[in-house]
Amino acid sequence: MRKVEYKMIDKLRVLYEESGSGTVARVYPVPFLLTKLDLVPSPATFDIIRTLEKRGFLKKVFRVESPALGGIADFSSLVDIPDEIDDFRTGLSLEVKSENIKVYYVIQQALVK
Amino acid sequence: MHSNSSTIYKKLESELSNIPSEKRWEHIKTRLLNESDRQRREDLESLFTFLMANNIALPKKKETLVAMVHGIRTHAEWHDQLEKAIKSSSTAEVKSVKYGFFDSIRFLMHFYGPKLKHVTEEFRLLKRDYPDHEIVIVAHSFGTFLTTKFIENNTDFNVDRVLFCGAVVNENYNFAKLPNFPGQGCVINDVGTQDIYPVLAKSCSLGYGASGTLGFNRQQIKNRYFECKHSGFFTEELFDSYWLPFLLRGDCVDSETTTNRPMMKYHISILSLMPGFILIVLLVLILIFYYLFI
Repeated sequence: MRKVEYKMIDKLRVLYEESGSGTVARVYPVPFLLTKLDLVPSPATFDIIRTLEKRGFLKKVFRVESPALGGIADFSSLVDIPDEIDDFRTGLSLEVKSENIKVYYVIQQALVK
Repeated sequence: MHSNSSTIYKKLESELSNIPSEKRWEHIKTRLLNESDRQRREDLESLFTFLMANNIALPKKKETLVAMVHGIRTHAEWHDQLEKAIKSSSTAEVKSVKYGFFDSIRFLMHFYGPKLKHVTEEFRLLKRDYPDHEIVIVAHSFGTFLTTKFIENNTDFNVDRVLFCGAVVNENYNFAKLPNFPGQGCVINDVGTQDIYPVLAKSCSLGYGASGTLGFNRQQIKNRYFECKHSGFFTEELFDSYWLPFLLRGDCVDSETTTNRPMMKYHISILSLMPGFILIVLLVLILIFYYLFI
């Protein structure tokens, strides 16, 4: 791994510890994660994030969200998301569209510690 | 990054930018299903996701929605004034997040559960009705407390900019722990140098802070000072010169008072010493009275 990637792992560790325990979830929207790592969206940044993913420090999560009331289900790949999903928050079936899909990253606890 | 990777990045960026936003996830899914090589499929998925999540290849500027949240013991007359000011100079959407009259007793006793629930529903409905708008919140007094609680409890709800005034949030509140809280340069706390109410809220109760009088002690928040009392922010001049540039464009216009403000009065310093200070003093007085006379 390159020096910059080791530096990112240290920052991930700090971010993980900053989140504390309790109710705050360690799920991070992509722009927030980049801000915390002092990175801007670019081909080089993507390279770093992809390396951290391949090494198991970060895990990508696709979250299907209800139109009004938050997350319904998480998936590890886009191809796993069904076309329709039961929305337990409204009691209705949701036809999954682009606007219902959000991407987050999870810092893998064991590796960061 | 290798030049080959950079080329692929730019090629996919260009590919996405030619597809309408509502069809992009579908397009990506189709591309992935057609990719037989597992490693390549994972690399493609990560790259497409990175581009989508960072709004790259989405050059269209978002429209703005300004949501206003009022304080206690009011029916938010200032909402109409601010809405008029905004609509006279922009095409931004302006919505009033109201929760009805909230009295001082319930405020001091922290009986705000139903109000928070109501405000949460209102914000969620705004997000549903304006999914592509940037969300800008301007809150006054107890509205700042409700807004903070809402953002804390709904970390999937992204907020683009926040403007507080007369805030009763803890001066040391750690906003950095909230993934959905706007970053540096996107949060302003307007402080009234003659505003005593946040200090009274802090000293007469537990759980409120005096950030509306003392400012926040956090670098993510820009404190800006005005020589005014608790409701002195609601003037046409202040709206036009300071609020509209920030709400509509994210520009922070510094106030003269910020660099030239008077020293804090001694009694304000004493009152802001600790949460519930007045409560404790009253309790001690009651105990003394009880001991002496009963």
